[in-house]
Amino acid sequence: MRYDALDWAAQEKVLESARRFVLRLAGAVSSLKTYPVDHPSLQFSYRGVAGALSEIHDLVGTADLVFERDGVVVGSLRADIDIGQQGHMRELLTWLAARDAASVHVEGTVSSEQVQRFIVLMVEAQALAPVAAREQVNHLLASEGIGHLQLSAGRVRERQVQHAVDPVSRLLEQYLELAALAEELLVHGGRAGTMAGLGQACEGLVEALVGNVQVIPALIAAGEPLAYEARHVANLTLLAVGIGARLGLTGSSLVDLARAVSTMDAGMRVLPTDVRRSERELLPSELAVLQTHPIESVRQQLRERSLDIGVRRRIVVAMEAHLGVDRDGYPEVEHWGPLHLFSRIAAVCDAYDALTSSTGWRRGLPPEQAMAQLVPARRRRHDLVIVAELCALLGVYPPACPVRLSDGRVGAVAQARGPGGLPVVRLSTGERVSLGERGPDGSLPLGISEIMVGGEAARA
Amino acid sequence: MTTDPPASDDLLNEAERAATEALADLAALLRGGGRAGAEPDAISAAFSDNLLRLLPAGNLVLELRDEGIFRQGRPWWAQDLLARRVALALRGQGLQAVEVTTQASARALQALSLLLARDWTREPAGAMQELTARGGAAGISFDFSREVPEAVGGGLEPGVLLNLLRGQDGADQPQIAGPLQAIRAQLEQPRDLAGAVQGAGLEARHRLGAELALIEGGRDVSTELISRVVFEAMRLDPAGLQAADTFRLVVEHYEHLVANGEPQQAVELIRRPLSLIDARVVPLWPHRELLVAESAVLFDEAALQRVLSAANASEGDVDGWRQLLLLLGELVPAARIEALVSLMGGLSRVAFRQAIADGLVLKTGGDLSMLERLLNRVQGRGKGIVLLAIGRGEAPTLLEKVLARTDSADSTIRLDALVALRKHRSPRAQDIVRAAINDADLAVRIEALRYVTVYRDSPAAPVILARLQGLKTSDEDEAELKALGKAFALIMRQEGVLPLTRLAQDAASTRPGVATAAIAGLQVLGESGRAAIHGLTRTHPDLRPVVRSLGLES
Repeated sequence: MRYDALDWAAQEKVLESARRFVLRLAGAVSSLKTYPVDHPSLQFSYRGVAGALSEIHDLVGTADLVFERDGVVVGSLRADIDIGQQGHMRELLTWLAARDAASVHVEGTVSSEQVQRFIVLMVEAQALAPVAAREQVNHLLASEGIGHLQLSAGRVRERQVQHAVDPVSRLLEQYLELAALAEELLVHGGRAGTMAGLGQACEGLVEALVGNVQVIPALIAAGEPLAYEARHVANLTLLAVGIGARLGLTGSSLVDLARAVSTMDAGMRVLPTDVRRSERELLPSELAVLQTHPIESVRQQLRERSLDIGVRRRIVVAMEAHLGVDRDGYPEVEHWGPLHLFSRIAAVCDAYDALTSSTGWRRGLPPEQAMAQLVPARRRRHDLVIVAELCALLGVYPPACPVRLSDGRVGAVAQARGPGGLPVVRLSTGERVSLGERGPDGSLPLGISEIMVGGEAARA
Repeated sequence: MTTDPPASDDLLNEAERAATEALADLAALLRGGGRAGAEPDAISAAFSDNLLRLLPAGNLVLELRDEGIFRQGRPWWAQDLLARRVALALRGQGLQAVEVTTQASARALQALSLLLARDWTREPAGAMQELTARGGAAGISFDFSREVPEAVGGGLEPGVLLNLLRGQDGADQPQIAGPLQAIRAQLEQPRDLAGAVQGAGLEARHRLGAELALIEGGRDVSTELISRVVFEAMRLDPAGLQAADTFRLVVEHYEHLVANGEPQQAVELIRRPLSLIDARVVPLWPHRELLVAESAVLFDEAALQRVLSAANASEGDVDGWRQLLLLLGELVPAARIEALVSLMGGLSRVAFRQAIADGLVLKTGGDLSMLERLLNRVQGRGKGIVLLAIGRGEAPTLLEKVLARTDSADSTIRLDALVALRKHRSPRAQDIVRAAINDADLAVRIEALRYVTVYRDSPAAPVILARLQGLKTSDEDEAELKALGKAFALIMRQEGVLPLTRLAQDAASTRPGVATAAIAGLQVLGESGRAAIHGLTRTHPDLRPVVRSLGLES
């Protein structure tokens, strides 16, 4: 049978029947824990399995229904079944594995009595070794005139993703995977498993990135051809992990930071497209709509099953990331305490990446100018300690930024990119020092050891 | 001329609503979610049936927009998240519109529902157009005249690069080779400068130290903070239904905390969002009525039963449970008061029942007539909770109702009635309490002893003494024996030394439990009591183990 020659209506029916076959069979297997095999409660499942198999046979003739961990394949068609949502699937796969069965072969219409008999034989074979169990079931089915229903050998297929093994490729892969999931969430609205996938991608990213944070600019550059909404999430997650690692966060805290940052704008997905993708300055009414997205992001996180510390952090970051240290942002909360560290990191990374990113409707700022915008003279939207850590992470310093050199002298950045792409610093004595000038041995004798913030900057 | 009856439009609207609901159910199911037990074939049949009801009114043209599916410019199924996902997936395949005519059969319409609901984001671009081009169902046509949209903001989809990277020779592809080379170069770069940079400096880092320690210890986000976030999210939500949805999600977490025996956390989580019911908290909040309706979920039979079971099974955090039960009593909607009280009568600890009662008192603002009506309506042990609530008031007429329940056949109600009398000192109440010293139920007897001790009810002393003297066995509850001895001593003070000494002497060899009670009583009588104990241990060496068991030197 050429499945790709089926008309669309028939193809939909095959997929629906295949999915129904698996779910009813899984339901029956699960019910066997509670009821005997001939209990009336199971008749519904038997009828469902029989009906689905018969419909498939009517539509395509002889067919093999191949089980996968998250779906079922009939010929060239595949019906997805979310294992996370359909809890009985795991039991079914275990039940099949115990009988060395990876698929069901059907050559004719099947009655519910025959399905019941099939289940009975499967149950009776449970004490045998897997291969012997399958062979016995097939033999008895054939001898009882139900030979048009047979089990085929093998292990349930996994949809394996071939992950990169080279660490350099792995870094890029983790970045792209995060971007792909972010796009799925924000552009396509996500699916069952997207949030969990984002979590795994964050874990992978943290694992690959810790100790290699110097590659962050290269990864961000690699993302430039990508759609903005996808790369923005991946970029700000990279930056946040870099800052978190610099501050000494480790392990699950760092993963939580990455997860919180990567999902903080999940609520954007429900905004009207013309607001989310506006290429012009938003009207006040549109701005008001845009500013509701943290509320939706919070709601999204509340859908998690428990309020473990990771979820709590995500909830808080979703609410606080746009508030601003001076509460000049949104939403307009009342009586709010100090922002969580993760929120302050998220805000700085979000702003920096937004300012430096070119989109279809605006050109991104050079890094030094973007960094300078994060430390405006009057308002204090961001935590300057975090901004300083970002400067250090990227080696990018805004003009006039007060710094301490590695030999202890104090000055201010006079030129963000001088010789060698490194800053030129004007010392308090008026002398200018170019950090890109190499010594006689070719090394760089001076570096910036400290970016001074708050009181230190004032004293300097 | 005939006109359609007004119900006709209603029926069409109903059919349209049912069809879109079926499509939503199916889309959820095919994306791995959906209602438990939902069957795709039944849902697609429902979609088909309802479309067949609509079609006689004219062909159906469904347009795909980013917000959902529209019909004649009006939302048909739109503006919820799932509708948006379905529409985006279909638009991703280039589908602009679907036209369904009266020629469409039921089978074709079922297939259409499956086609529309399928998750097309998993299929390659153009797959849907290719599939439908083969034909398949008369009366249904598809319009793919729209261009397939480009990725947002321009640029590649990350999945494209990811597949390239993972494919054979992926690293040699130009889109991949460049970035890989740049990353490699960064990794290989000497880190002399980067290594020297300390960021914000040690002083600034030091200021973050406490915060970082909290994070590493997993103590950085309290339940109270989450509660505040939820409160603000609900307060600021412009859409009432969404605010209600947020509340429902929080209630699920609240229920988990209750089931896990974490009542304190449950209260912390739910209290602030629930406070939005109170108009004084946010006076002009527009969704208050909706929240009031939603909050009923906390008081449905199953939810209350879960609280009851968890509280009764709990061995710790008594204070947390009391707070939770108080909150429930305070916030119970009027229509659920009777159910709450009836069910919570099953709480095993009087302190828990009292917490519900106190919540009711707060709720009613001391409206005793309401409590009186409630007492008449509530059945079973729930009456005890009402008695406890009445006991917090001063009304003499209602006190009679409490007194009348002190001889209830149910010991829990007798106990609650006695607890309700704690702050009432009328002669009738005192008579009743004295009689309760000999009640059949231990908890009632202990409560009675507590009362007569607090009020130093001297007429109760002979009753207590008689009970002590009358005890024949030594297997009485030790706590009660000590309570008897101490109650007698505290009522009689110094005049109790002699009777207790005699009692200890009499019981020394035959009834050690009674002797223990007497010595426990002497123990609270200061110097004269201690002297009496000293004398007893000299004259009756067999009392020494008893004295030692009470932590006294023999």
